[in-house]
Amino acid sequence: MRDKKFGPGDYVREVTENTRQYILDLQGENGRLRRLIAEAEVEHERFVERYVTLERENMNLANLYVASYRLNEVTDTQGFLDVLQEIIVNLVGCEEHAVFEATEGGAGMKLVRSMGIDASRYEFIARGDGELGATLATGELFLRPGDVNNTVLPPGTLSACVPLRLGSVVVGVIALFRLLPQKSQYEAHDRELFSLLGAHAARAWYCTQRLPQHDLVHQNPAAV
Amino acid sequence: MQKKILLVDDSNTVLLMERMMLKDQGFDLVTASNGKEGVEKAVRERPDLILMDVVMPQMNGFEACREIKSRIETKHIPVILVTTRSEASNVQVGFESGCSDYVTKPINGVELVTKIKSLLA
Repeated sequence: MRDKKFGPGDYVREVTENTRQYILDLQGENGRLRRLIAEAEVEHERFVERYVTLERENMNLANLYVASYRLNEVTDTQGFLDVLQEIIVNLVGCEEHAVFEATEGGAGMKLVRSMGIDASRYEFIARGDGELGATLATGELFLRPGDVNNTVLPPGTLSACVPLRLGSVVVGVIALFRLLPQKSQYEAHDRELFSLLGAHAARAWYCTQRLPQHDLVHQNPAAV
Repeated sequence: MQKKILLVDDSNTVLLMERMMLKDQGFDLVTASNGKEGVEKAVRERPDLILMDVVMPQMNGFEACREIKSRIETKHIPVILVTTRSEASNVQVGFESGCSDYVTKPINGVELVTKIKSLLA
């Protein structure tokens, strides 16, 4: 049997074949790595979305905490109205608003605080009269849908009426007109804040009206 | 070392809100309740950054920012103005007073922290 000779041509063929196989292996690995990178990017996007959602929820909870803390911190009616205004301006984003107190018997409500509106138009609102009077009568939140800031709505347009309720009794209403230009419309967290205000603000208001001021002096002489 | 931030606002509600947003970010927080006090504390505390409301009694945010930027000991401190006014004219006044950035109310906590970290980097 003749020995099979391994000549230069065979060597070149073998090297070429090995190199081709090596390239195929690398291409396969490359494809696998690209798929892994794509999967990692999808996972990263999911994490980013989840992070943003959690941060938003966190901020919402912080807003609710701040509102509740500040409302329950005040001990006099004027201080309560000051805090309520701060919440409306800084946490809701509205500089056109009014606060009404229901009158005895509930026939209507009188204006007790306002900002950025013509107060003379809202000195007294009768029960059932317009959106404000309807909120007094029903105790239901009114929210205008869509864009409600001052670049879209004409002046004096109501965007929300928030009832302040002690149980089933409406003791007051917060009227919000146009939002600041950087905020287009109400969102889910605003509804939650309004729900909190509806209960906590009503209770805080009730307490400040009934806490004798002389008791404050007795507890804290520096309060005078 | 902890970075120190001076919060200047006449609203205790806003100060509490800002504290809530920043307390877990590892900053040392000090507060002032008007522009004049803000300038005094900037000189005394030498914060790494100032978060300043615009509409305040005694001295507004624009005036306080100009004052801070005019003093050798505080002119290097970045100031972020916090305002309800997003109109271009107000933003321009803010930057002309020397602020480094601004945020509008209601404050977006993620945006605020991002801007602070960017300025402190």
